[in-house]
Amino acid sequence: MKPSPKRLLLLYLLPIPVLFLSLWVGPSRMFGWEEVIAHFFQVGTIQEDAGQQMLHTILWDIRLPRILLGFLIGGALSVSGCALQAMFRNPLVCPYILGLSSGAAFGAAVSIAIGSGLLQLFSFGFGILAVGASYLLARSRKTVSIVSLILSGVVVSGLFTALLTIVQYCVDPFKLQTIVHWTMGNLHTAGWGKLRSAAGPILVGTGILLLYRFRLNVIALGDEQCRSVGLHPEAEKFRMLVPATLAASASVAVAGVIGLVGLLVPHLVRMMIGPDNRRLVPASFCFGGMYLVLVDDLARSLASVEIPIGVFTNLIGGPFLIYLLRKERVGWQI
Amino acid sequence: MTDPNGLVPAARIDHLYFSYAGKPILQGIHLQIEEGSFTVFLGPNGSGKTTLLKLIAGILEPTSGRITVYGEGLNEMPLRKRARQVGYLAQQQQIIFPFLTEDVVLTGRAGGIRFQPKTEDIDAAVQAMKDVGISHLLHKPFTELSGGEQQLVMIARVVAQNPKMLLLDEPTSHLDLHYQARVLRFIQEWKANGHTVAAVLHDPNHALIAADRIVLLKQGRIVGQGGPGEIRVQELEDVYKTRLVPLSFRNQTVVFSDVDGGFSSDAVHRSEQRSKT
Repeated sequence: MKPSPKRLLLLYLLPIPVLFLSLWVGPSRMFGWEEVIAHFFQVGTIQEDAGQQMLHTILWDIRLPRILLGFLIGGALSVSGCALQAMFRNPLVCPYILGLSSGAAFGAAVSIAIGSGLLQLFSFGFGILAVGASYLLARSRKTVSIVSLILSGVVVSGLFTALLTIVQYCVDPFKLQTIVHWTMGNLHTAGWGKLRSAAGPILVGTGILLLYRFRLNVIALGDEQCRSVGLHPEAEKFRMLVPATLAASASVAVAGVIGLVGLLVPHLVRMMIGPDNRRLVPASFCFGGMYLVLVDDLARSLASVEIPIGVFTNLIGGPFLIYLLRKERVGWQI
Repeated sequence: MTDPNGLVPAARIDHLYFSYAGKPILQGIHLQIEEGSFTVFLGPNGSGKTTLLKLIAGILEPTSGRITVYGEGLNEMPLRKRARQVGYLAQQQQIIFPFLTEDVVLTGRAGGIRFQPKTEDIDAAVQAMKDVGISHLLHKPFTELSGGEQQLVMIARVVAQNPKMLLLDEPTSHLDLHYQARVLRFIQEWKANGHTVAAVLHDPNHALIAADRIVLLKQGRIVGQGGPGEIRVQELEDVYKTRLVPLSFRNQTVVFSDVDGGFSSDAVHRSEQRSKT
């Protein structure tokens, strides 16, 4: 059945209160909700009191950019997952299927090992390089079959994982610790700078996918069905792969490998509103963004020490996905 | 390119060869499909019928030879333009996601949609479902439909595309008698509106009853063609490698497969007599 407009509206609007309420979540419990609200309505005025300045720093320089970055990354990974699942005609696909995460992890490790200070650029570049290599290896006679693409993705992923292991084996223990921490995925270093560097590629990538979301429906029906209605399947796949990789690579570059979001969120949203990508793509962006902000809220408030968000998304997402697949009427026939 | 009467054929195929992995599938096909006609390709499994249809639809590219559609070379034609000339119904559907049937039919309009479907596209999809007689399936998930219903949805999809020529690969397979008749009637209506239809059919009787022209294929070659009255039973027997028993009814001939040789000539004669009375 068609999703009700109320349900759709709820999916689109729910992130607003969640994002706002997340401003209260964090290890610092120096202030209550009245102070936060009061502070919000005086933004721009000179903060003379030390407590007020602390509040200002925590809210505006730590929590707000972190919440916004978490929202963008959650949305980007989810939309990228939607696009790749439609493209591969397979609901088991996630944005990391073509070696993006292992490529990005290797790039980050190299940057940490040589102390280049260009960690984001390295992981972004190697993430894209890995996906590009998978695509080119799978291409034969001007066509890219889905099976060869997945196979080349597995090969490229394995290759970069091996290279990452070599780097980890060679570096000193302090750098090794940094590399391991990075691969766990985290948002605790989020700031306006990271938000600025990630927002561009994420918004461009998700924007393009949002614009062409109807074509995802056509691609999801298969190459023959796509070609018979006047769309070139290879060109369309490439058109979707580039923005999906751009958005996911930018996310991984600033926050490390955050697993299962791109797999779980499209599933959840599909169960709520159906598989039509015209609705699924924007709803996944909103819901995915909200989901990651909520998980991050848990990651930074459950224990006295912050737990890396990538660990949390796997801990929560894995069992939850299995539960849903067993409980709900999801009978994929592949 | 025109025929001797000065008419442009809907499709013209010259010296067509197609090989797959070095194995010849189609060899030296020459064929003309007249505009406004219903042409049926008959032949046993593996004779190259589906491949020929896919080549005319532009899904496959010929190894050599030329296909022109409405006077224009198929391979030089942009895909979007091709989608306005030729619509193709595949033999098998492999849709994984539980899309609503309305959404599946709407994808038939994709060639004319830049970003998002407009109201006119949605209206055309709904109308196509009405035309095929499956409006009741509008909001049902495609993956939950029976094989026959899925086939009808895909027919509605190609109708929504509204091409000049429809290429249908076994449109009556998976359908019960009611829907088989409906699809054949629909083809006649579609033809009456000036469209051209070419189809691969499994059942020679559907071709004998409804087609304007029958093309017989065997081992990748055309071994016979003509109107239903011109095709001899012996030609069909040669193509299908089985003994057939003809039965005449209302000036039309249909054939039965003589599975165990149980049809004696007397029985056939009695049957013919009954049908005359």
